[in-house]
Amino acid sequence: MKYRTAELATGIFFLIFSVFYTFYLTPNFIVNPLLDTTQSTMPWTLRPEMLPHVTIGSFAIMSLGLIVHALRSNDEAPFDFHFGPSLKLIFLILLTYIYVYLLQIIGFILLTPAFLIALILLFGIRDWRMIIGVSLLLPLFLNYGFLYLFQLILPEGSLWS
Amino acid sequence: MELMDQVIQGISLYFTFKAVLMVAFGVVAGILVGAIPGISGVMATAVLVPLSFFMPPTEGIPFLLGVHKGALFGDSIPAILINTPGQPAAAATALDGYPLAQKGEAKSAIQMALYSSSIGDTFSDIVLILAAVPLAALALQFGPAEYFALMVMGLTIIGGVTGDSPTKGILSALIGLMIGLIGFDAVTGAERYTFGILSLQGGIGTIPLMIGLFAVSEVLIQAEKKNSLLSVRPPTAHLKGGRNLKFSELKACSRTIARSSILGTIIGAIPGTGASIATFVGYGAAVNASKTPEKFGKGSYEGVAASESANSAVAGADLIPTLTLGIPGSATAAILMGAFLAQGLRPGPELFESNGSTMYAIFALLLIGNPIMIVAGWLLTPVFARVVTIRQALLVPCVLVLCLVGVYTYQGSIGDVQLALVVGVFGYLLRKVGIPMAPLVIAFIITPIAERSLKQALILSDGDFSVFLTSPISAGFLSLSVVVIFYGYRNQKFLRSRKDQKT
Repeated sequence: MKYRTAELATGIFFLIFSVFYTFYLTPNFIVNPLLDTTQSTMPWTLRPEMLPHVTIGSFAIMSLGLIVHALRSNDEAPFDFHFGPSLKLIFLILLTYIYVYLLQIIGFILLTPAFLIALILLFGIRDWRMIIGVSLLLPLFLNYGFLYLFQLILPEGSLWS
Repeated sequence: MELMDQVIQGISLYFTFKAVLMVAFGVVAGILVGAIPGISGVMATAVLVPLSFFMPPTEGIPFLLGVHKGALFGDSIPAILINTPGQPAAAATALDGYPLAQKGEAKSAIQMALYSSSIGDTFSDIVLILAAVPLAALALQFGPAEYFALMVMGLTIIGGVTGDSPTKGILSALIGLMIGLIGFDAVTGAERYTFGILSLQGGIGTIPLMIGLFAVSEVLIQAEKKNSLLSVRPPTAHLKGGRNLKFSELKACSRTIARSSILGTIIGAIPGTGASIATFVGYGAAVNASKTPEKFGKGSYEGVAASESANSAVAGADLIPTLTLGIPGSATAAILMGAFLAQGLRPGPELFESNGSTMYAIFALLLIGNPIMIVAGWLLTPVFARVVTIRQALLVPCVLVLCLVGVYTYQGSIGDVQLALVVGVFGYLLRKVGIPMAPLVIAFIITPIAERSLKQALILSDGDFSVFLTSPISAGFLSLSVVVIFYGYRNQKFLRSRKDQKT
């Protein structure tokens, strides 16, 4: 994929988002505590929807600008995206989401070494002394550092309480 | 007399042994984290900021100022030692620093970077101190309409000059505004875009947003590299031994350091321009003025001095709009402002009125940070060679855990950690399509203040928008915004035509 194609896709996505923001998010997710009668006498410029409307209007115009720029560009530079590393990245993101989710259940001190081992292996290190050393020492250091220096308890895990 | 009282009060409150120690701790932490290859000064600041939440303001603020200084210098270390600049600003340092390291002069090259960095930083701190009071006094005369127009101008400059295209810069600022709109509306009390989630009523947290955008997204960018690159240890044979920098070598670069310090300060004071522009302008000016321009790029001490003094001169200068107007001058300044807010201090002209003593203490601590940086840099030089050789495959997971723990410490909430992760992925995608992060964060930070000024001005004018055009100062600021956008597009066109000519 070329870089300008990625720019074009971004512009179109932003434009679709502008429509969604204007016609769905703003009417449904701005909850005004004022009575309808009070609101009807209020100038438009003072209503809570004013700034979101101005912002999204400008955003839509700039998104159009991005689309026009991408269409007129003759830049043939490729978009920096490779399937192999991206698969690794998706795996990393998934792993991190699972880690954050399980933090509340299993706790920091037990879960973090496993998370670190998985990540270090994912990045290609096979030196087990190094892997075990880093994955055990860092969580211990952080857990006790925060506990004794800052009196902050990192998640202990609901499973053990 | 009142001024003297505030200075004395500030010094007695903040200028204690503990505060100076916290500056030193911040400087050392900033240098060491900034020295890690692939970690930029901005990311180093974002990662270290959560530590300040556990300190009272009298210690947290000195620590943050130390981090700000140390991280900027720390960037130059991997650039010199292993040709891996943490951010574009350090790329100019690598041009001459790395050839010097290859010649076995790594130690003296780092010392040159250290001295020129400290001199540049000291100069810009002095300019900040001299400019801050009159600028803040001027800003205090502004009404809400003028203040809002000033914010618009600041945002336009930031959006218009950051990154490779003004369109993307402005889009970034608008995304920041949209995120900043989440939560309660200050005037009507309306709830905006909270989707019924209780934790969103107070708005998106500054710290999860910043750590997500700057640190988590950077981790993802680093993780994208091939494993063969991540797990390899950089060559270190050329880092052993070396000599100290001679005074004559430093003296020979004094003109270059002075020139770059001035250029860096001027460029740094303009919101959004940042260290990379200052560094390359300083480096270019040094090449033009040098009697031996052919030596540049092949291991010239003058080259290291030019880029480093300009780079560090931005540190003090970008605090000018931050502290006096409440508009962060750069991404690092925005993080610092977010941390100040978390400490209960809102930078801006009112701070001089309400908390003048704190401001003078900040100035004093900024100045004391520079000699501390020289001592810390000198003592830590042998450690740098070890830090830069740590494999990234080990660092990236550790930094990710540090980021997540850092976000958790903010409010002890897993929700914040989840938010930082979502923001990190979002930031990564934006960076992939070339949308800069700095305008987004700066816009997010100033949205509540800008909206308050906007609504105040509109209430005073019965909702009439023309109030922004009838006030000459406000109209002037808005006109300048239009000029900046025009200049940004013209500049982009010029750069594109030059690129086309080259190809």
